[in-house]
Amino acid sequence: MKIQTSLIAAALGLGFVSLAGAQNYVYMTGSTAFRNSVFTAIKAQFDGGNPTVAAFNAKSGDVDGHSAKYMKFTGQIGGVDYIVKCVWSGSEGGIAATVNPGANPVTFLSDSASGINTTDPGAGDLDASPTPPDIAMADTSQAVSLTPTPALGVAGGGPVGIIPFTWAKNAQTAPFSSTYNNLTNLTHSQIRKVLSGPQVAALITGDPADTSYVYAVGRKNTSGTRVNCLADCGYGIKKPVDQWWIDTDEAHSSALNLTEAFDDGYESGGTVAKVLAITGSQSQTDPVFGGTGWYAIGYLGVGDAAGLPWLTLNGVPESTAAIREGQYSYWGREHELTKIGIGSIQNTFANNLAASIPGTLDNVTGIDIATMHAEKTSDVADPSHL
Amino acid sequence: MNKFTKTALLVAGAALVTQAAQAYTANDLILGLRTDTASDDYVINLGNAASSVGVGGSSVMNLSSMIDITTINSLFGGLNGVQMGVVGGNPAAGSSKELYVTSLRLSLGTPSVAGSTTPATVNASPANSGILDVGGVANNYAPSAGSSATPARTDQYSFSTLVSPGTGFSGQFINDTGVDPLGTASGNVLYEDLYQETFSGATAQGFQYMGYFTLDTSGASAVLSFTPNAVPEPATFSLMGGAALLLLSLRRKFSRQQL
Repeated sequence: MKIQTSLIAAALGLGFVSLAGAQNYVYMTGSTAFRNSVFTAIKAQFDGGNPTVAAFNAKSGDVDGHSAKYMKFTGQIGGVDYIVKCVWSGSEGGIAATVNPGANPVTFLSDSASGINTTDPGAGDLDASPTPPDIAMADTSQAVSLTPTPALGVAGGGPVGIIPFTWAKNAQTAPFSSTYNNLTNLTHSQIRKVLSGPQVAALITGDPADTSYVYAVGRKNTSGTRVNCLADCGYGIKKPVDQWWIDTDEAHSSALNLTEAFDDGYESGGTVAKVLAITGSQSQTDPVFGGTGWYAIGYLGVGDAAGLPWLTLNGVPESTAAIREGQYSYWGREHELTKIGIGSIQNTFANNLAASIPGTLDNVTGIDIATMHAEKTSDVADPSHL
Repeated sequence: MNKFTKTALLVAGAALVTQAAQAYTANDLILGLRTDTASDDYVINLGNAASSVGVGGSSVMNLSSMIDITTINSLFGGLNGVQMGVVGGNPAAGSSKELYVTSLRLSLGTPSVAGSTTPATVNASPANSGILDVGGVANNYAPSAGSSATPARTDQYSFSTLVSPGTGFSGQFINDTGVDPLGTASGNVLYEDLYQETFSGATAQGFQYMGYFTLDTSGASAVLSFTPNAVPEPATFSLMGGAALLLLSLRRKFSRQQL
């Protein structure tokens, strides 16, 4: 009996030790456009604000992993070991995966994955099986999403920030064509037309000599950037669009290979940025309509759009000041949504994250709501001044 | 819960998810029934214009299994005064683009001859906008062949909102294309001609009459059919029958001579 008691005590003791050294996990998914902003806020949750970061599918030149599609943060929060894993695949995809993970599986980085990588993770860098996400970052409320029910939790009780977007044209090398130089602004009606099919550039530029076609490049319907785009221009969130691939390869080679994507599109804003950066279309034969030159316009988060030639919207350039005053309308309200039945540890993390996001925003790629002088009363409303 | 039940539920769940994610298929024809006062529309995806509806064929296609007279009667109190339209197309850039619209057939006449005025040509860009408007109805309410729904008339993706001119804004079929595909029933039988527009590159080739739809609610169940323009007329049948008899007679005569 004495031996038995000792064994039980030893087993319990081991169990206690195991619990004390427990590794806590938090799994996040959702918005690609907001990943730069949430990256900083996640880091700030860790003791010392400096967890070890692993990242895959990061932009070239990214040294800390803030632009990556796959992220892993390892460190301690309040003296307890935490690993926070993220796969950013779009707001709509994130909501769907959090509501119904069985039908929308997400596989995160493995505990051993390491380094800041521009490549996609290999099989050995990923967990052996998918994990239901705890948290989804979304550029819209769940109510206007493609998966409005069942209702997820809302960390912080409401939007945690403003996510700005912009339109950009595809890059060219000098000397620029006249059409390319004329392509500087888009109106909502022009956007609706280009989203419904290629348009003669003169519709946008007003110059009858601009007879080349302009094609829309954009995201899959799992994207919050797309939902905000379709809502902002009044096209209709759930109407199909006629978008184009500049390169069908999501690994984004440098070839111009214009093909019709119809209602499909790229999975991340980072890829939209990469294909819009491929130069040469102004001197390439239009593969659809013939003639020399074709042009592409795309919509994306301002963090991803850095380095591309941006277009003004209804004559207004994107800027934090123009968004704050309500002059510029293509922006969304970022939500942090939590899964139904979220664990207490993950829920605490989610609430702390929601509370800290406003203070970590750079007011460029994400804007603190407290600094806004304008509001959107719903995800599809026009901005109004406070 | 046993393994089979679990598997069955998983499969059913997957099927539901798949269904929810389905999108409009190019050249599916969407039939809509509506009035200005009924609270709901009735939309039906008739399937591919050629293979399901029979456009380009030579025999009458019975589509009655897709429509429910109980729904018509409960929504509209009968067919009289109800507007019907059939629309669809392929938004592909270039020569694959197609646009389908209906127009009220004023006289039954013969299948090879249109009973309505040919709609004005719709250019490529407005055609695309119109087709994607139809896609909006289909995506939300009738994504696959044979599927149907009764969305609220005021819903932003209803047939009334995205096809009829009721709310008067851009981004709906009639405003985008300039073509009204709706005909109003007077009585319990409605005929509507179907027109197809094709494109050569970016250039519209104008509409061609392809046949007509019949919706007859005079019986216990609704009869919906499509009669292609190539269906032989009764007189043609008689001539063909006479020719066949003549051939048979000549063949027998020839055979006897051989003996």
